Formats: sequence, C-alpha cells, structure tokens
Amino acid sequence: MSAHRRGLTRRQFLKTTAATAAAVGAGLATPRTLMWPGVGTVLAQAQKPPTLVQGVDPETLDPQFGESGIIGNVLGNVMEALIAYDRKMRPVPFLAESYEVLSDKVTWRFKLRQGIRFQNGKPFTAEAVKFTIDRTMNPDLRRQGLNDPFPARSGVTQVKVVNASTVDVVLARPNIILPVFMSFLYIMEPEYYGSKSPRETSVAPMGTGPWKVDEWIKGDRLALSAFDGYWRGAPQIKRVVFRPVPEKSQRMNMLITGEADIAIALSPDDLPIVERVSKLRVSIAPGSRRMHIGIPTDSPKYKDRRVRYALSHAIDWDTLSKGLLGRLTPERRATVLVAGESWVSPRIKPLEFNRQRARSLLTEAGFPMSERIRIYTPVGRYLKDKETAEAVAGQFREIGLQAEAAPLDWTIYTDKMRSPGGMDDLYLLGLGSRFNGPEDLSIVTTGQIWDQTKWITHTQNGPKFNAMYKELIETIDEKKQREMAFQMEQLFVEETPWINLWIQPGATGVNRRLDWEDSGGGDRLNLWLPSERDVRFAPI
Amino acid sequence: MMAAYILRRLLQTVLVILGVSALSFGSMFLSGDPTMVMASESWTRQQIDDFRHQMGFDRPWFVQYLDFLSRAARGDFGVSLRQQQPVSQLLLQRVPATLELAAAAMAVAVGVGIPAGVVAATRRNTRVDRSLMLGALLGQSMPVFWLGLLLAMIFAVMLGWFPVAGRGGWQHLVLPATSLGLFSVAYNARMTRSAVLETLGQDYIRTAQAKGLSSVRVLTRHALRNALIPIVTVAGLQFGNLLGGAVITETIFAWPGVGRLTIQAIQGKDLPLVQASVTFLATIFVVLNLIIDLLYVVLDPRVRPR
Repeated sequence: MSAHRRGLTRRQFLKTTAATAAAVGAGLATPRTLMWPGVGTVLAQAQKPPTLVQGVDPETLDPQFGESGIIGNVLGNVMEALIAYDRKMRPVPFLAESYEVLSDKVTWRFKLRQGIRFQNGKPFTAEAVKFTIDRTMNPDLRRQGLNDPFPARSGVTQVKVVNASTVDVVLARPNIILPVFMSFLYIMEPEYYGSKSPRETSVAPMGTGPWKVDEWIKGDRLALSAFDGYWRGAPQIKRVVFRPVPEKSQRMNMLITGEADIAIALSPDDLPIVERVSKLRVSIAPGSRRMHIGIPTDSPKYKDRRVRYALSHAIDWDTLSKGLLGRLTPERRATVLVAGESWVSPRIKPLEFNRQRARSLLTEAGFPMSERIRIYTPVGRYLKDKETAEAVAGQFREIGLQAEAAPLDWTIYTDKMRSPGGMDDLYLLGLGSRFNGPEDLSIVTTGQIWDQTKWITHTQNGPKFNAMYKELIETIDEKKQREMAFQMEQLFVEETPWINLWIQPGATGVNRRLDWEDSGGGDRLNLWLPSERDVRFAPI
Repeated sequence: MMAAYILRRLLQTVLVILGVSALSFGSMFLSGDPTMVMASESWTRQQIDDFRHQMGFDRPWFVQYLDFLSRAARGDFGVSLRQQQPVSQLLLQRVPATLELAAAAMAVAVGVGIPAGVVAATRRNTRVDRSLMLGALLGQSMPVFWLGLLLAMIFAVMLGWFPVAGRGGWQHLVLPATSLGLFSVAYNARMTRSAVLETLGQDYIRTAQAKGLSSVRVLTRHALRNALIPIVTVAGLQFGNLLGGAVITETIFAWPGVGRLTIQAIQGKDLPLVQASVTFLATIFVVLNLIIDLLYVVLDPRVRPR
C-alpha cells in the first residue's frame, strides 16, 4: 500500500491539480460565452430560425392519412383549405373567394381565388379541389390506411368542375355543416399526389401554404422554408423549425434557454416560471375543448333527472376552476355543449352551487347514498384531467356521496367507451369544437361514440332533440338555425346529461423576439392567420 | 471442440431470438383484439372488419406467427400503420442515434468508472476511496429520469454549458451520455476496485514489486491487465443494457433513437412498429451477449472448452 502512496509525490500532486484546474478553467471559459453572449451572439440569435417545440412528431404529413392537432400544427402552415378560421374562430373564405348553396339545397358552389400556385409552381384550380375530395373516397388508398372522415361527415356524392375557378360539391342530403368540414380539407396538387405513393406523400406534402417542408429528420426536427411564390406574399421568416420534445419540463427548459421560441400547452403551474424570465411572455388564447363530466342516463343510478341535477348543484365551480386553472380560468358558461359564444343560448342560466338543494334532490329521488360513484378520467390528455376528477369527487363527498376518481390510460379509457355497455359510470371528457353550433350539437346525437350518456335513447327530450337536429342541418337560414340551436340546447340542459366544466383554455410560451400571438389555445398553431400578417421577428 | 462450442452458442442464440419474437408477437394480443386496439375511435363496424381482414387478424394465430417470422427473417416487418413507411426503414433511420448515445455513454462508463475504481483500490480505506465509493453508491441509486432532469437543470439551464435536448454536435451528446452512463460508471468503479484489490494481493505482484518496478508499472502492466478480464466482459454486456436502457434517456433528452420510436409506436398503437422495435432491441442484446461469450473464450484460455 505504502508503495502505491509513494507513487504520487507532492510535486506530482501539485502538477496534476494545476493541470486539472487549467483544463476545467478552459472548459468553463468556452461555454460561458454561450451563457452571457456578446453583441455578435445576440445578433446571431436574432437571426436564428424560430423553433417550436411540441410533445411528439407528426406521424404523417399526408392530411388524409392522419388527423391530430400535432399534424395540423405543421400542415396548417404548409397546406390550405377553401375555408379557414380567423382569430375570432369565424370561418372565412380562404382559397375560395366565396361560396353559396344552390336552390336544390344539396349543391354547394365554391368560387375560387385565381392566381394561386402550389409550391411546385402548378396553378390552383377547380380540378385540384375535385381531385382532393375524390381522393378521400379512393378505395385503394382507404385500404392502405387513408382514414379521412370527410365523406362520412359531409355526405358528399360527387364533385363537378364548372370551370377553372368554380367547383360544385354535391351532397346526398342538405348539410349546413359542410363549410366546417371544408376547413379541414387541405387542397392537394393533383399531378403530385396522383403520381406519388402514400409512402412518399406522408413525408413530403405539397400545398399552397406560406412555408414548405424543407427537411424532416424524424424524431429530431422538421424544418419549413419560406415559399416565395405564396399568394399573400413571401413570408418574412425564411425558416421555421418544429422539434418534438416529449418531456414537458424539458420543453420549458428549452424555452428558458432560448433553444425554443414557442412552447404550446403550458399548464397553469408553468406561467409564473415563464413570466420570471424577461425574454419570455405568455400568450393566452381561448381553447376549443368542451370539458364536461358525462352522466350515463341508462344507468339505474342516474336515470332520474333529479339525481343529475343534484350532481350539478354539488359543484362549486369557482373554487374548482380557480383552484385547478388559476390564471387560465375562463368565463363560466351556462353550458359547454357549444363552444362558439354566439351559439350559446342567452336563455340558459348555469345551475347554482347549492349543496342543500343537491342533498334534498337526492333524497327526493331516493338515491342510494351508500352506492359507490366512480368518475373515469384519462390521465394527461387534458389540462389537469385527473386532478379535476379528484376535485369533483371530493365535492360529491361533501354532500354525502361515496365518490372517487378512476384514472385510466387513454387506450383503456377509449376501449371502455367502445365496449358493448360503454361507460357505466361518470366520465370526464373533453370534446373538440370548430365553434359552429350545429356541428357542436351533432356530437350528442344518435350513434356518436363520443356521447356515452346515451341520453338520446334514455331520456324524454332525447328523441325530440334528434328530430330537431335532422331539421337543423337542412335549414339554410342562419337566423332560424340559431333559434333552433338555442331550443335544442334548452332540451339538453333540461335533461342535464353533462356536468358543465369549462372550455379548456390554452397558454403558449413565446420568446419576445417573435411578433406573434397564439390564436388557438394550444389546439392549433397558425403562424399566418387569414386577414393578418405573418409571424415576424420583433424589432430589437 | 471449439467449433462445437461456437455452434452450440449460435444455436442457443437462434432459440432465444425465436423466443423473443414469439413474446413480441404475443404481446400484440395482450391488450385484447389487436384490430380494436389499432382502430380509430371514429371507425364504423364495416371499416373495422375491413381492417381486420387487411391486417390478416382474421387468420389463426399460428398462421399469423409463421407469416410474421418468415417476413421478419427477410427483414420485412410490414408498414407502419401511422407513418405509412416500411417499419425496417424507420428502425434503421434511428439506429445510428441510439448507437451514438450508447457508445458515448459507454465511453463515460469505462473512461470514468475504471480509473475511479483503480484510484479507489490504490487508496484503499482513505478519504479518496470512501468518497469515490460514496459517489458510486449515489450513481447507482439515482433514477435515470431524475438524474437526467437534474443534469439539464444545472448544466443547461443554470450554467448554460450544454443544450437542453436534441441531437446535434458533441455538445448535445454530453448530458444524455453522462445521464445514461453514470449508473455504469458506478458499477464499473466498484467492480474495478474489487478486481484490482484482489489482484494486488497476488504473489506475482509482490514479485514484481520485489524486482524494483515502479508502482505505476506494477499497477498498469501486472495488476490492471489481469483485473480487466472480468471488467471487459461486463462492459460488453453493459453496452447491450445501454442500448435498451436508452429509452428513458432518449425521451428526456429528445434524442431521436430507437427507444423513443418504440415509445411513440406504443402510444400510437402502431403494433407492427412495436413488434419490430422490441425484436430488434432484444436481438441486438442477444447477439452482443454471444459476441462477448466468444471473445471471453479467446481472451481467457482457462474457460476454453476442452
């Protein structure tokens, strides 16, 4: 042992220590320039392409083979539809100049903007619209995985090219929701998509949008470059990078260090962290997800309308929302069945928080208080989903109910929905919306998997609602549409198959070097909205 | 005799790979009807039936398994349901990143672990030894995800020395490789310490010292060379562990490797991709095991079959 100790003399020790210190010092010196950058670095940083981080990569970039917010966040900047949504979530003609329903009520005529070109230089014409819709019905591609719901939702039977800038979309029956479905339909360049396999189009889309896909290293980065021939003018920012970062705290870290410029879907707990960093800001936008707790009306427990009222009366909405969402708490809605404010009936008032009333309604209905109540909830799919279910269960316990949250993985949750009996107890769910009353109402009509309350077949108002819905989607007059929608909401609220929570808000963290505001509360990421200008670098 | 040994190990490897493929294939049925697992929520009954037929799930399971095996043997794992790309191509795109990370983590594990073990052994029962062994204990106790986030917080956010996440230059490799390799550093340090201590007590070391050789020479030429045989063997197996264990590190550091692809496939219910990824990772591990076994025979004549 002593021999080994003799191996390192005091002189050698000092030499080694000095060398190590020098190496560490050199190591520290270089990276620290990254931490406290000089003027040159700041200028270089200003020119760095904006980087957007989200949880995962899009699975495909062929819009007819996949449907998700993640895909839309990328493709919404590469491809365009005949109709688009503005900041106030109103559908406006976009690649179409105008549209109308013809007198037969089943033919929709779209007049197209002229002078628009695809990213490969080919002109945008009525043929492209026809090709795009026909492709959604192509049986060969359907066998290969094409799953665009457009034909089933719209009831399209054929597309007729009237002339180069006019196209007729013919439906099997009148359907006033068509413009909403058209806003999902990204128009494809016929020659390109006609000659490429899904394997090719899934990684290299071709649209009319302001940016085009430049490089995609799956799992690492997806870079878009400006399309200089864009019909609204070339984008100011020439390159945009999307990066998939699964770990949420790492997305926040990237935002803080400047590696990312935009991070979507911040939670209320993230806001103070972002706001403590001077170069960052929070952009809050109204969301579109209708958060509610569904009550299966076919269950003997909840068959009596008074029980469903009691559950709603038991909810202390202010405490619940402020406790969970903090600064992101949206305004309380009388019903979250419809998301677009103009579609919410002014005649409906929210059920007040009244525990005494809740208890007496349960007693009147003869509710077995010892019966266990479960609130199924997915975990991590919605903002504070599990916590919300736990808090609601806690509020139910306050009125003497034996309630508990039942967290499930999303796959198991949806399997349960599809099982023969469907959901057998309360369930927390968030349904997306396109801010269109009739489209929002369609989700609780017959045969919709997303409505597990089965209220259409198990309540008094259900059949009436269903009949009115059939009439509603054939009603062209907008004023009449709205009045019918209000009546239908009334029918729904009278039965109370949902406990209304909120329209899920969204917050996005943004680096101040970007001049851009979120429009979709983390549900959609559009860098260039209709009637607005594109994302830009903020003046220094 | 040697040829028979190699042949027997090869045969065992093939059997293990077959077992892994059966498990990976069987996992498809663990969560119920695979058609329903993969079906979109909005599909109609007709679409579901068509899909079942198209995927061949309406055939007996053993026919499906034989078909899976015969295609897998040709490197054909089918097409990803979500990405419309051949599964083998998706896997191959991710392999370099995983290998790069595992190799860097291995460099950390060996480059830090072995010297630390040697120092601890040569300074036995001193403060240096105790500090190093305490460090090793900590390294083995810390969960990878926690360590990864801690490293990112300190070295990326607070100090700004390295990027938070993603793949790029060597700077991007430092934090994930350290995070992944630290467990093995601790293991290697403890193992090296024991092996060196054992060797230092041997007669031939005493003889070398008596010859008047310097302590450094005794350590490097005589003690370490003999102590390294078991360490090299374990290090080889560690490389397999690092490949498979990279799943968490790849997720935390947004590293575009096979592990993350597997997680994405599981979350997206993309079963062909899940099967291929699991089979691939397991096969790599088994093959590495085989190579090490064979190398061990070459390195250490005592274990050669007679």
